[in-house]
Amino acid sequence: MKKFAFAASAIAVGMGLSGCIAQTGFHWTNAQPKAGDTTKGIIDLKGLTGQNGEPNKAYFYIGIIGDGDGVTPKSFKFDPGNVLNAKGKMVSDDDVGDFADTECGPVSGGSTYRTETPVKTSPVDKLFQATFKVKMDGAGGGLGGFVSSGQWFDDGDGLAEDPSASGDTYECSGVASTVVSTKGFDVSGP
Amino acid sequence: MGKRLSAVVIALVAAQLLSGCFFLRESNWTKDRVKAGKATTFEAKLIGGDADPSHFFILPRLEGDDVSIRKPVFDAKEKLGPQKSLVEDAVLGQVAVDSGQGCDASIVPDSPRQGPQAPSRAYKTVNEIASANNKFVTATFKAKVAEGTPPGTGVVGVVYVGYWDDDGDGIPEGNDDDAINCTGFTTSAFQVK
Repeated sequence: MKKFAFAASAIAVGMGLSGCIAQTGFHWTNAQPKAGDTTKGIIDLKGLTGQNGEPNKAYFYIGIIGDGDGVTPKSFKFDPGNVLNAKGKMVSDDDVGDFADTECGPVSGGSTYRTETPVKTSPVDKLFQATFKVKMDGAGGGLGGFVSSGQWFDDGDGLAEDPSASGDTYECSGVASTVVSTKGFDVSGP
Repeated sequence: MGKRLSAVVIALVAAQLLSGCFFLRESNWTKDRVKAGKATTFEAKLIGGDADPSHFFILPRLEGDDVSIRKPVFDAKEKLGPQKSLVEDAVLGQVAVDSGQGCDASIVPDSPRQGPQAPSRAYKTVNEIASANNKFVTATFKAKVAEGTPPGTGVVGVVYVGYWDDDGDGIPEGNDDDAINCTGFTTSAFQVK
């Protein structure tokens, strides 16, 4: 049986939680799906008070990083319950993850998805979610890693850029480690 | 909400995450808004790995003097047998934060409470727990909000789970012979109603 584990080289994670949206929890609709099945990852979010002078809209992103085998993430959605009246698909943009990593790791090197358009940055006291699906291969599989989320404040050019060399800034909502695997898949490292 | 989420987790070594007895796979609070004087329950949902027996621990590092941790339990849903109360071990918590692998957290300077003041009390199983490969187990604790806490107060922090492989002397040391590793963590928050 194939095992998965994180790379032997240590991944140093520096993470600053500074965002106006807090990632308060994470769960799967089915944490042990059958081979060939799909399960949904649900990120619980809570709106906080923003900083004075902060733009009132920013792109929200989800980052996934880890190690896996036979697992395909897809169908990333923001606010599927339309609590913020901002329900929408998220699009792949690994540049956001690469630059957010300096402030909000662990994101770089994984898969990052962001909202298609900026969303409200400080939905104070609102409880809402962002979701994605993972499809397990027919032969089974598993994923162990981190699910991160945060906000990208674009400087107006529509390009995710290094915050030290542009007007872009990144804020973190939170991060959670997680494991999802088909039944019988050995989650332990070698 | 009266407080912004403001924390930093440094130097977490991801390579440690899947090399222990129980890994964190999901987490949630039973209530996201809690009245002063009441409690909410944190559920850490774990999956068993394949490793030698060791003490399981949970390490909630929540900001604020307004919150007290109550009734920490391992295997709350009795998947491996009767549920086991977890006992506080402040030394284990401090050693985990100071020298454990993947357990170091601190709060950034703009927070009202900086890292060294954040609680670092771990709650451990009294006895070592055998591995339960691929089994789902839940660890829980209650966070009680002090009477008189102003509505809107935010409680934020990081919750770790991990293991302590005692070398036999009953003293957490966090070295090669007395390994202390975190096998998962999550940021978390709830609000006082």
